[in-house]
Amino acid sequence: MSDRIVVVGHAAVTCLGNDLDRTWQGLVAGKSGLARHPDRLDPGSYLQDIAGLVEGVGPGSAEEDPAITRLGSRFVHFGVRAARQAWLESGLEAKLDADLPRSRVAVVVGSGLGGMDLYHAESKRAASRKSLATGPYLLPGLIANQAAGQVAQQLGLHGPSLCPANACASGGHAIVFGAMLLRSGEADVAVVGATESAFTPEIVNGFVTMKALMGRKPNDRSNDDPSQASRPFSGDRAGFLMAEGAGILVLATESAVQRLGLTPLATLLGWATNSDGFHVAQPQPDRVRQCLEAAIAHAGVHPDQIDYYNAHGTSTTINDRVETEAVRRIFGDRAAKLPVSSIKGAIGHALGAAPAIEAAVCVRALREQAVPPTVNYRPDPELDLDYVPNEGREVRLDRILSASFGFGGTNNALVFGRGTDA
Amino acid sequence: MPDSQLFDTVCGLIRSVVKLDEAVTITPESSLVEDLGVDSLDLVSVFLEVQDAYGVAIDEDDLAGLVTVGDLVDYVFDRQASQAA
Repeated sequence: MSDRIVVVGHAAVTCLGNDLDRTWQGLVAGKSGLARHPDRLDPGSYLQDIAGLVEGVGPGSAEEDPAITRLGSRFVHFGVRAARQAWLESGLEAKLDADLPRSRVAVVVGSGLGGMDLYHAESKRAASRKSLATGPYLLPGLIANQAAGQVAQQLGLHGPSLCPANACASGGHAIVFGAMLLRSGEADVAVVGATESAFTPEIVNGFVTMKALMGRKPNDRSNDDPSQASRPFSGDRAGFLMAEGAGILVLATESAVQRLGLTPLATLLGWATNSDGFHVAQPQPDRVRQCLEAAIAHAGVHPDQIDYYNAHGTSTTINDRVETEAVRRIFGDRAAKLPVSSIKGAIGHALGAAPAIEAAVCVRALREQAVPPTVNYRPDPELDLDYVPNEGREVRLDRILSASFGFGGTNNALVFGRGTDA
Repeated sequence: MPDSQLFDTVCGLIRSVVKLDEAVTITPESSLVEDLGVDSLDLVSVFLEVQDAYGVAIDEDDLAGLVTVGDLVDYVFDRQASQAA
């Protein structure tokens, strides 16, 4: 029998808090971390300045990580911070060398876009120079795999290092790739997840132009209350809102958990990835559904054994419709009773980091036996699932399905079970 | 002849990039690499900070000659003087 994959550490950095505890407390309390940020980078240059930005950590902040001060891109700082938190929770630092060779720990930390904030800032700075030079830390801070590189460097890990760049599915793919490395015997432990910070005018305005990100709208309910801008599955949803942050899990094989005496927090029961092969940005409904079905099958369970669907739920018209239809088809008569929610209403869409943040939240949900709500919810007559509107809910949770889909037609789905399953 | 203010400002820029221990004393004879431990990437960062602070361009061909802090201060002084002329 294959060695099962166990979660032994979980962490997140989001606009609701710089750790998972504060993020979780905000989520179940129905809070939103979205606010206007008119003064970031270039005031007046954003087509939408409502965003879920992380406060108080990162380059130049009071809590700047002194080990990585030279790297001025926020996504690296968020990723390292979350990884330090998850690694600390795992208790693995004390096992290194004597019980766990550093070469047996993989790092798979993705990012959709890498250091776009640094690129933007350095471009502006270089334009004012009398020479054509750009800073020597631009490239190290820009490249998407630098978060993975810094997690490995700062934690002293020497196994495989990978950086899935699969758009808004990056974090889910990172978890899958980490699990595959464990299953294949390439490593005993894997630090997995993703990190993102891309709140620059070019990126925000590009998403608005695509009509994926909600632009400024007259008379929108977010004009007076920015926290209502992101409203997945609602009748008046109008696109996602940019966010930043990081999510990290520490995965270990079941045999490593037993050998090293680690504490199981949850089990990664199954996963699936597939490709739409269809469009640069739009989801393909059948492929999305098939990805979810494949993950459930890979976990070796029946759809009836899934207790909660943690949705991609971007708050775009098309995604939320496609996802709702997939749930209807997979779960049949039970679909109307299955709790389905998207935390993107509360924390916005952290692009590549979103699936990893959501994975960390799912692990916490299993431990707390509670489901975070879909905030800002107002019914849509065409979408008829139980979206856990506006208030968190205590639910018996044995298994959670979580999915994410990225531009370029890249999909993944994960099935988590309780730690006691391990 | 560079004044002490120029020297102090350049020292401040070096410290901001390299995060030197306060106990380390910088003199005009201090070698950026040998004495202050500035690595190859930070060396470029120091030059760019100086460029930005004084609005001068440092020619790539001149970089090899900028070994000590004094070399850098003199270079900035000369560049400013030539721009003013």
